[in-house]
Amino acid sequence: MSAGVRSLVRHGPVFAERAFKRFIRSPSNVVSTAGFPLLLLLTLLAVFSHAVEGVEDGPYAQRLVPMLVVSGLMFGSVSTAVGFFTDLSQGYMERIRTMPVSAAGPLLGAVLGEIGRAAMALAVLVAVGHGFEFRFDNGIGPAIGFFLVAMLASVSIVWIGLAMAAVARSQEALGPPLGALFLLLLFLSRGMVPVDAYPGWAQPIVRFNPATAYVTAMDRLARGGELVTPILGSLAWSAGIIAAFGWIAVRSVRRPR
Amino acid sequence: MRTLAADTLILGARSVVRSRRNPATVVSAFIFPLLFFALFFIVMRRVMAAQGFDYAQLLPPTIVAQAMLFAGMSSAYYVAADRLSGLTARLRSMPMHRAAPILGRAVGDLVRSFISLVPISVVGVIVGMRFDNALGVVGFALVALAFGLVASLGMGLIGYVASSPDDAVSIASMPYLPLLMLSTGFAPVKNFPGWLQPFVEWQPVTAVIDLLRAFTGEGDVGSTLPVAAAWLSGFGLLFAALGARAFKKAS
Repeated sequence: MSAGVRSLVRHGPVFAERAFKRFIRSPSNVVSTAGFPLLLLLTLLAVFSHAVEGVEDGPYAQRLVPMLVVSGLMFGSVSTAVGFFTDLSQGYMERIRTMPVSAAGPLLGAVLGEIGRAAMALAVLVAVGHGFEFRFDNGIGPAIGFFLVAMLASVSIVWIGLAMAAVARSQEALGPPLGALFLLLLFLSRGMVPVDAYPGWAQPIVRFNPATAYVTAMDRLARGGELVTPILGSLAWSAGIIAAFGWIAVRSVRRPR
Repeated sequence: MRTLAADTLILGARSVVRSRRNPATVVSAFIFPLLFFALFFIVMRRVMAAQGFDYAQLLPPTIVAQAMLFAGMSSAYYVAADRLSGLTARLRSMPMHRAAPILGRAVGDLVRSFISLVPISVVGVIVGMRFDNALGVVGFALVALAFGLVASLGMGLIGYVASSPDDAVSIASMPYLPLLMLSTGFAPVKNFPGWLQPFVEWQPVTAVIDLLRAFTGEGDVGSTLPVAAAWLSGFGLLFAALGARAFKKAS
């Protein structure tokens, strides 16, 4: 093991703790991870469950809970991205570089901190969803798989924001575009309605979307159904996202701007 | 009276210039409403069509109401920014009419509302919204702007108590989601759970959306106008009075 990797292993937990405290102590962060998705779950159920239950079997909450877990991860990760931008722009990273720790520590911490975010989104949405007939019909193993896919999504999605933070010139040029991107990914996923309810031209976009992969895998783990395609799809999207955006983000901590 | 008009115009122009130069306001005035429009239209149109609820005709007024609520959130942001930067207090020490800052802000709010109303209405007409006649166009615009003004007055109040402009926006966004979603904007009253239906049917955003739709030939102006007018004038007067008091205290 090189010195850098050894330091990363030793100091990783410290940075993860910092990231987690940053998350838990910021009310707006908790709101965007759990509060807003919860509000969205309740309102979408009230507005659309009658209509969607008219075109497919099963309670609407079964479809919505996975999608809102992913939405909490996405919109919550915007704050992580903004936090990393502050680290880069306000001298925190320079300070870290003068210390005998790995410069990749803050990145690793941010990514591990996302697991805490996933746990919070899952706990709140699964518990409240239960009241609206969201169930794990498929047994305990797939239920654990459901949680694991959410964790996988959380440590993958965050890299999109970290990479954008590394190249953004201002905080204003980071938050809104990132939010708009996530909004597009979520709406154009199969999270709210079945794929065949989309217009024909939009269906390929809906199928080729990381949010669809994660949401489908979670939905089928809870409800049952063919699993190989969505799970391989989730793994492939995660590998692609981490490789592409991770490369950009890691480059930024290696090379001071 | 001449100073009042002149000072109001100056401060109104300042408010407009300022929001034009703020990318966040431009995004929330143009891009977000159009994005929501496109997304709801793509995602929910078929499902709602099976319910006999035609989004091409019925969704544009909803998105107009949403854009007006966004204009209100911008107002919350600017009220907080002016108060915290000391501008609100500074204006008080200057030789200008005392009502000018409040009226100037209202001018700015109206211009912002109008600017975001135009592109949504154009897109609405492109996808299939139709007006009966010129009177419908005028009525539609007036009701939208009146709602934009009331929303700005109401959400602007938050700017007087928030600890930062961004906080003001987050607080203002809380009433926005339930008011907009739990209206007839996206689904008919009968689709909501029974206990929620009275709220959905009578709340102010429903009244405004129903009246906007009546001007596009969906529904009857005569029966929707009184409800919307009562809500708008009631809340308008209340928010204006509270705003004037909060402004006095802040300056």
